[in-house]
Amino acid sequence: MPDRHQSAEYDSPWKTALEQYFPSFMQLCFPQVAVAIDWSKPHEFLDKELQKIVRDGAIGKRFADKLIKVWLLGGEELWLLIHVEIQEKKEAVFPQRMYQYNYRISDCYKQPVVSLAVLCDGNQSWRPTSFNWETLGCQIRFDFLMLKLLDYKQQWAELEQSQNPFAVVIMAHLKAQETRRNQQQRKIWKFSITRQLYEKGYPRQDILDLFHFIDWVLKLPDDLELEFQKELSEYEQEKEMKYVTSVERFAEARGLEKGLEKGKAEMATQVLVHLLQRQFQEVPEELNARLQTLNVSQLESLIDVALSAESLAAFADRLPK
Amino acid sequence: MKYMTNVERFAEARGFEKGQAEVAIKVLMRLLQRQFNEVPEEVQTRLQTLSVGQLEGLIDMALSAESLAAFVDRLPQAKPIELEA
Repeated sequence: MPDRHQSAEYDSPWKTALEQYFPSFMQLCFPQVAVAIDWSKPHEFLDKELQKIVRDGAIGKRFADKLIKVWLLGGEELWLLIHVEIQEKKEAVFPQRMYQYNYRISDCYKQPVVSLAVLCDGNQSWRPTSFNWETLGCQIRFDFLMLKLLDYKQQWAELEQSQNPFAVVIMAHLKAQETRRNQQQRKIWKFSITRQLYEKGYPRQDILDLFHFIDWVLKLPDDLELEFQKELSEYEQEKEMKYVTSVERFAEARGLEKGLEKGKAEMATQVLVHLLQRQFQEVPEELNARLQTLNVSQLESLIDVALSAESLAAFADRLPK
Repeated sequence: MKYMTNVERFAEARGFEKGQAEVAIKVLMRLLQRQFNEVPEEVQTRLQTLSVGQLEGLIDMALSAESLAAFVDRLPQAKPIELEA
């Protein structure tokens, strides 16, 4: 799979995880900032404000960003820009982009912004923390806070011990990165990290939400995914905590139903076109397009019509309006 | 969270094949009935053991078969074993 798709896939689970576990994320990843925040006051995601900046700037979209309003213990309002850099290749323009975002937001909304970068890549040595520019004695220096997820590899045991739900997100991400070329290993980790959710005693909804993240980043090839699902359902049964299994039973029924309808329509159209081609060679594109709009029972009833039609025009005349 | 879980994705793929097979069998039975009137229940049972690909291949055979017996004679063996989910 090309790299582009890779990052797109990581993108939205990251955003969701950040939204859902924002205080936990701050406490785990940026404790030095978290201690200054008054968590008794609600934080607010400023998606619209951020979108405006991104659209105006036409900056790329290969990352997950969040702009959040928080209150400091001193009573002041503060905006945080969290930039999660998901893509694998290090980018020379990254510090500059951090600077541009910060500047654009403060310029547009007259609000000071604290910028936090989360780097998800696998390159140990890429650690940007500032943007610098200088010409003829004129100088810009912009420092931002940076967290390298890779560094958590050294603290794996602590992540496993941690009750912070964001620790699960980080573990899943690290293992997704590490097992990219070893699917068997990936399945083992997917199960191991999922199991921890139950062992740590998270409430049902957290288990489901965190599992979604795990399931999303630790994608498996079909055969291994089936094995994983079986193992998980057995585990849940044994634990008498049928959370994922029961939610997915609905998902399964929904999927089956949807697939069945699609499969029927697909085959019925295919057979009709085939029968028409047998008799009249070419089937024009418009006719084909009209068949696509019909439902399964309409298509089925046209089979006899197709077999006895004298011409394509005669057949087309009999199509439901 | 809005995305399709792997379970749902798998189920949809299974449903898709099932739907395709159902319609293919229905069409085949219809084609045979048109030509040979009575078609015994066993023919349908035999068809149900075949894969979508095999069923597709039978449509032309059903249209050109000179007798029902000739059609049944040329039916392939049951589909290879597939992963049950």
